[in-house]
Amino acid sequence: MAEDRPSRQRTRRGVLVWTLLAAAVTTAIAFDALRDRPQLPPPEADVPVETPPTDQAFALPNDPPDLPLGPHREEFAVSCTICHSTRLIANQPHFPQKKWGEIVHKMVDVYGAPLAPDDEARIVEYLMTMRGRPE
Amino acid sequence: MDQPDDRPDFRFRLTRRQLLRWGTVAGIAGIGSNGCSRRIEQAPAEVEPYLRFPGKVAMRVVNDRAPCLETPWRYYREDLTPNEAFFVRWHLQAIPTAVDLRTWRLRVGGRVNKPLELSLDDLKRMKATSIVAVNQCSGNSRGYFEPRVPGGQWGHGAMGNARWTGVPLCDLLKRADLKAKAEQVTFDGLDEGPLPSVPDFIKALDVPLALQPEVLVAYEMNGKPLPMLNGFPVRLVVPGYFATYWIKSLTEINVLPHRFDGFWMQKAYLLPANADESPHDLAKKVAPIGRMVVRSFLVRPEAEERLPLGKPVALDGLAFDGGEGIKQVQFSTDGGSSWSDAKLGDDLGKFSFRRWRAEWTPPERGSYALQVRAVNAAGQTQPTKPIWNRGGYAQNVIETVRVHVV
Ligand code: HEC
Repeated sequence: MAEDRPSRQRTRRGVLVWTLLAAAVTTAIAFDALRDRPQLPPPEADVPVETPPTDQAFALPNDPPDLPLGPHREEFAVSCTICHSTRLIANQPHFPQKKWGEIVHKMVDVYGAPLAPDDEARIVEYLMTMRGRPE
Repeated sequence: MDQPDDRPDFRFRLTRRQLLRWGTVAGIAGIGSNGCSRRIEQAPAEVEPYLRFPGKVAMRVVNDRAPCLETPWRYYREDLTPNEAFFVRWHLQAIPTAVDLRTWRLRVGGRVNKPLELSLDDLKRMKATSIVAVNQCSGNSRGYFEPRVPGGQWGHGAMGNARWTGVPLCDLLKRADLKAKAEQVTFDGLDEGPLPSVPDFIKALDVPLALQPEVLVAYEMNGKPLPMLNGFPVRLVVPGYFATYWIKSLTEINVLPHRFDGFWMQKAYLLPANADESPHDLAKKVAPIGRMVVRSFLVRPEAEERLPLGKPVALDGLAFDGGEGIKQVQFSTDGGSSWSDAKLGDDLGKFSFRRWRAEWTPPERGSYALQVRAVNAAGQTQPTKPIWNRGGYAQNVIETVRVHVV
C-alpha cells in the first residue's frame, strides 16, 4: 500500500538501539534531522504484523519530537532525555509556569533527576517556550 | 483558557492538510469555545505520530521511550482486541526486549514455607485456566480531563479485552504455602528504572484479593504467547482491576507480613479516598486505585462521520465494568434527553467487554450528539459530568460522539 511506505521508511530510519547515552545523543542529533518531516496518517488495518522472536533482543523505534528553538534548549535536551523520551513531554498539555516548575521539581525530588539547582529554573523557561501558557 | 491544539486525536485519521483546514474553519467559525465541538477541539495542531513497534500495528505514540502506544479505534469493533493492536504501557525505560527461557524463572518467596522457582514449562505443567477480561489503564482518557493534568495523554485507546490463559495465582500461593500473618503480595517485572534513584515498578495486592480464583499468572493472550511489549513471558491478570496491577514480564512474587510501602503504591496511582476533589480543593485522604468503574463507548459510527439521510444506521459499541457484569446499555441520539435500550451481544463473562448494538434511522438532516450509558449488575452507572482528579484516573463520564446526517 502506497500509504504505508513512508511509515516503514521512517520506522527503519528511526530504529536505533538505545542505551542511556545513545538515546540522549541521538535525540540531540535528531532534533534537527527530523524537523518538518511529513506527518503520516496511520496505515490500514490489513498490513501483516510479524511477531519478532522472543529470544533475540529487538530495537525499539526511537521517535523524539522536533524541539522548538528557545533559550536553554540544550540543558533541556541533556537533562530531560536521560530517563524517558521528550515525546512524553511534548505530548503534555500547555501548562503555566508554576505547573512546569512542579513537574521539573518532581523529576528531581521523586525520581532523582541529576540537575544543578539553577538548571531547574532554566529548564522551566525552555518548557514555557515549548509547552507553556499564561497562568 | 482554550487550548485547541493538544488533545489526543485517537479516532479519526486526518492528513495534516485536512487538520490545518479544520483548524482554520474552527478558528473562523469561532468554534472551540462551546461544548458541542469537543471532537474538533481535540484535533492536535501536529498530527501525532503513529509508529510500528515490533510485533505491533501502527499505533499512536503517547511515548516512545518507555513505549506507551494507543490502540487505534477500529480494533474495538472486535470483542477480543487483537494482540498486535493491544495497547502498550511501560513506565520505566529499561524494558525487556528478549527473554531467555532457559534461564528465566518466576520466583515466589517472602512469607511462605516453600519458596518456588518455576520455569515457563513448570508453569505450563500446572492446571491452566482461561478468562476473558478487560485490561484498562488507570489513565485511559486522561487527555480529556479538564482542567488538564500531567501524565500520559491517552485518548480512549488505553484499554483492551483478551482471553488470558495461565495458572491461577492462588494455586501458586497454595503450593508455596503461605505462612500465618501474610498481609500483602507484591509483584515485580523485568523492567527497571533508568537510574538507581528511580523506584522499581512494584505493585501489591491484599492477600484475600490475591487468592481470588480469577487472578492469573498468564502466559497466553488470545491463544498465543504474550507479545514482548505486552509482558512476555508471563503477566499478572487481575480481572476487574485497573491495569496498573497487571504486572508485565512478571518474575518475582513476594509475600509480606505488612503493607507494602513502595513508591508506586504509596505515592502514585492514588484516588481521593472518600470525597471528590477539584484543582483548588484537593482531597486530604487518598487511597490506591482499585476496581474499574462502569464505562461504555460507541465504536461505530465514529466521531464526525457523515451518514446518509433516510437509511437505518447500525450503532454498535462496548461496555464493561469492574466485574459485576453489564446488565443494560442505553443510547441517546439527542444528547441525552431521551434514551432507548440497546441489544446486548454475546456474554463472554462478567470481566469482559460486552458488545451492544442498536439501529437508528435519523429523522432529518443535521448534526446529532450520540451518547451511550451502561448499568452493571450492582445498579452502578456512569455520570453525566466528568469527575476530575489530579492523577487523571478512572474517567467514566457518558461520552458524546457527534455525527452529521447529510
Ligand atoms: C531520573 C529519571 C528522570 C529524569 C532525568 C526526568 N524524568 Fe520525567 N519522569 C520520570 C519517570 C520515572 C516518570 C514517570 C513515567 C511513567 O509513569 O510512565 C516521568 C514522567 C514525566 C512526565 C509525565 C508526568 C508525570 O509526572 O508522570 C513529564 C511531563 C516529565 N517526566 C518531564 C520531565 C522533564 C521536563 C525532565 C527534565 C527536567 C524530566 N522529566 C527528567 C523520570 C525522569
